[in-house]
Amino acid sequence: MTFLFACTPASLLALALMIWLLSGVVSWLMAASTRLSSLICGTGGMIASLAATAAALQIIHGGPAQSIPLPVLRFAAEFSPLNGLLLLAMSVPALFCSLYTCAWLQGVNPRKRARTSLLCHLLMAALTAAAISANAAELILMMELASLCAYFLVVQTDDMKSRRAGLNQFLSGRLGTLCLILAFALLHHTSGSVNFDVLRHTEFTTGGKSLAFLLALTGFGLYAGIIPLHAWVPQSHSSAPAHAAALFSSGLMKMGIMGVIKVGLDLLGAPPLWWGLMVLLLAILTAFIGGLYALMEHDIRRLLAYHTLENVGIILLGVGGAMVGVALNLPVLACLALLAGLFHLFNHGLFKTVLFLGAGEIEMQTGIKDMEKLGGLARLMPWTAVAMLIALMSMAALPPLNGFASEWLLYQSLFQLSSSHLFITRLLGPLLAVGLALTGALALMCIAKVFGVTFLGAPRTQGSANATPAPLSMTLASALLALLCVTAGVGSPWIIPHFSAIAASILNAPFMSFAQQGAVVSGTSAVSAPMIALLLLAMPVLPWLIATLLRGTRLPNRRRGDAWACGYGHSPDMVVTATGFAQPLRVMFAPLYRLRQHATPASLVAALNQGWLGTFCRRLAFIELAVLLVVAFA
Amino acid sequence: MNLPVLLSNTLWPLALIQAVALLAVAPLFAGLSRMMRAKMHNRRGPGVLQEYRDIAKLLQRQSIAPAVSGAVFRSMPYLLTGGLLLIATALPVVTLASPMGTAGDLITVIYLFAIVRFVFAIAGLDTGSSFTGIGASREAVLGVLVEPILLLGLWVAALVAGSTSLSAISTRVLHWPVSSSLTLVLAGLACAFATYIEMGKLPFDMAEAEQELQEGPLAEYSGAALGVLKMGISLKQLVVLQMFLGLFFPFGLAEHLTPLALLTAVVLCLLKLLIAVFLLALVENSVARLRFLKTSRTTWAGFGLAFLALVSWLVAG
Repeated sequence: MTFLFACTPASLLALALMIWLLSGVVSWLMAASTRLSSLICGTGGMIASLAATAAALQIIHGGPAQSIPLPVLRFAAEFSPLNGLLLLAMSVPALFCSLYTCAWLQGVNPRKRARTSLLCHLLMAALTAAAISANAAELILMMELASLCAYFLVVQTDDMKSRRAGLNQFLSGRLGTLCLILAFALLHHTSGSVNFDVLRHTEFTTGGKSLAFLLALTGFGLYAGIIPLHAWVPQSHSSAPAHAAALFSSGLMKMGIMGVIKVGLDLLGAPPLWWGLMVLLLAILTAFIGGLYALMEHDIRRLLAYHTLENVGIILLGVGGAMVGVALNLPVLACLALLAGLFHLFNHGLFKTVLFLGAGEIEMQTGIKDMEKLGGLARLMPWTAVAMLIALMSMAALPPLNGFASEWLLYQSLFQLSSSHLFITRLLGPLLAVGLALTGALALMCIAKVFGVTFLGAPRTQGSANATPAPLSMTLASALLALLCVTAGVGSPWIIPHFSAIAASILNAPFMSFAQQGAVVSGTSAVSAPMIALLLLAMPVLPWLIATLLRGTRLPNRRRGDAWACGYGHSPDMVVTATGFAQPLRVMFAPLYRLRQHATPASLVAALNQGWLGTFCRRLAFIELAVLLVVAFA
Repeated sequence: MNLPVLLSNTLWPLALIQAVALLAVAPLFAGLSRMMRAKMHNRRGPGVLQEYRDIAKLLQRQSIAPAVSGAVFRSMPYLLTGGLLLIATALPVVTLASPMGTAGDLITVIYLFAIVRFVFAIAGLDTGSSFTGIGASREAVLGVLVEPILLLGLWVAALVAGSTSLSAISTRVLHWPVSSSLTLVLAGLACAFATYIEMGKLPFDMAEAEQELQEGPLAEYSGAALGVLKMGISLKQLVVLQMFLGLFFPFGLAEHLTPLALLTAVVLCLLKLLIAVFLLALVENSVARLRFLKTSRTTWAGFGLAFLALVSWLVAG
């Protein structure tokens, strides 16, 4: 461990990249021997992500952006706090995903084992390289590589839904890349270089700048899944293996967000007001529609994917707020909003990974993806249930967990936005806050549905009645990460100053701590997560004491028989299902749900999936992947 | 707004005392509203202390639960009451400043109510009963309908006050800014509407609809667990009500901690609660339950009020 911190970040990252690739290739070659290949894949991944995490921590505290070539690999890297943060936000989940794969790979056939381990490691290597790339060509190349790996992970399960999802992902990815190439070609036209450092110091014309921003926003938006560019997200997360889905959510989609931060705040100078407002509106749309559509899903991983969209929206609310803050020259608003966005980006990686890994455990132990067929798992898989409960509560921003810490900051930045002097922001600020609150309430309903239907009550099928606890390393991966969620939430007053320093360095603003005496302080209000945690643990003791002291001659609790059914015999199918639970909202928000059918006409979908296109894309993707790999190594 | 005051924690004994006191008087107010209901029906009804007698008796009875229920079902009454006690520490009850400043922020309080709602809803799914599950679903839907109203109303009040902390809002309302009168009145009306829905009284008695769902998530509780839950539910009504009264009727709350000021504040607080409970009983007993799926139409009216408050704030500045 001390060795990791003794090295320079450049050598650590070179080491991480090489281990990602090497362990991937070795476990691919040795896929026939079950234990060895899984072990190599898992430990290799863990060492690589540990090295990347250590490097990220050093980069974050390493001061402003500087270009440093990586040793051995001939890769020009740029180390800035933003890159460091992104690296951290994808390496920590990757660490636990690797721990999870140790056991998961042992349960699948050699062919799948070989492909998954190679592709996942290639994906992580490409994402790591993309996070620290120093110019746009490297960034686009690495994102393209990562996206192709994701495509092959999605189409691996060879069924109708996966093929459609893969095709969708392939087309979205290529369109995104095309937009990015156009955007940076435009910038190249003026500046003569695609090097980020040169772009930062070039003056662009307003029109050219805005056109490039719009193109880049579309391109990165396709990666990040900004609604309405999100079509590839839901089914891809369900078709790929669970840990790969976790990496999509915490790595691939975050690259898109980082791209938006880079073009919006870093490369093109101070953004005009309308950029920020547009990002804010897209963000709230993404958050609200993501949360609303999540409620209607009953495939756990599709549901979680919609929640990823919701969280992408929440992160972008912070980014958009920061852009407005810069445009209006309000440093407190800009810092607070960007801090909220970045902290949520990190937190989302933590809790979403727990959820995907937990969903993967359930799937492995029961063979069921559909929530309607689960039930009663809390008793059969207690550790998974506790980890999922913590992560779900964190996702719905319940105090004192980490999701709450970042959303509280976001509300405070929206409050700053509301109290600024411009009419449009004064109008938008409160409405965005209402949108966020509505999204929060939808998320609360959704987590109650997921947890209640999956883990509580009686098992609905034989498969879920026969579930056993998942293997140790899988359970450990989700439980440890859930513990990290609690730590990041309760310890937020001590963690937030570090994120605030990153935000300040991106904005070139003076450092504001936003924390004092164990409380997070926004300038207009304060909240102390440790205090809330303490009271939440202590307060239920009082009613318990009352119940114990006034016990009298009470007999011990008894659990027997069926629930009361109004005098009729109880039957299991009387119990509310996931669909039934969400039914009232389907009625109340009916027009918004119908929107989906209008936006994607069935004829278009059918035309796109006429067979030959899918096969063609698959071959094209294979050729492209091979070409890009050669380019990357050359 | 003075932040060090907010962070200094000298008031924490008061915070605990007021939480426990609210818990202690909660059944009294539930009893009062029962009595008023009886009077309005021309019945004699039970005495005001009936709720205490019920709870004391229930606490001595065995808890019986369905076989499929688990830890979530068993622990819910305690978690619910505990969460509400935490909110009770943060409200301005007798002092103008929130005695637990680090939790006394409107966002924090709204999300603490969300915790309470969450444990209530998942306990409803942990029984294998058809009634409790539907009750849980309704409880969550009410959250979706109420939260925007409550947030926007409080947000506008917070904008007038210049801070999202509860102390700042109550202080601002006490020193009534004449230029923002209309804004505050509209925001107060919107919050009153949201408060009323949150209290779960008719016509918004959805989740625990007695005749439709046999008390919803409460249906499977019995004995001691039901006793604690009854305490918790009456505490919830009192806490929601006190939040509204503390923020929008802060008149008489103690600005400085002198014995006389505290005493008047306690008396005034009880008096305000009494009047509010009486008014609520009047409304509750003169309406019928809404059709659940049509509730959203009614709640739009509340949101409209909050939106008008926003408009008036935008115009008045």
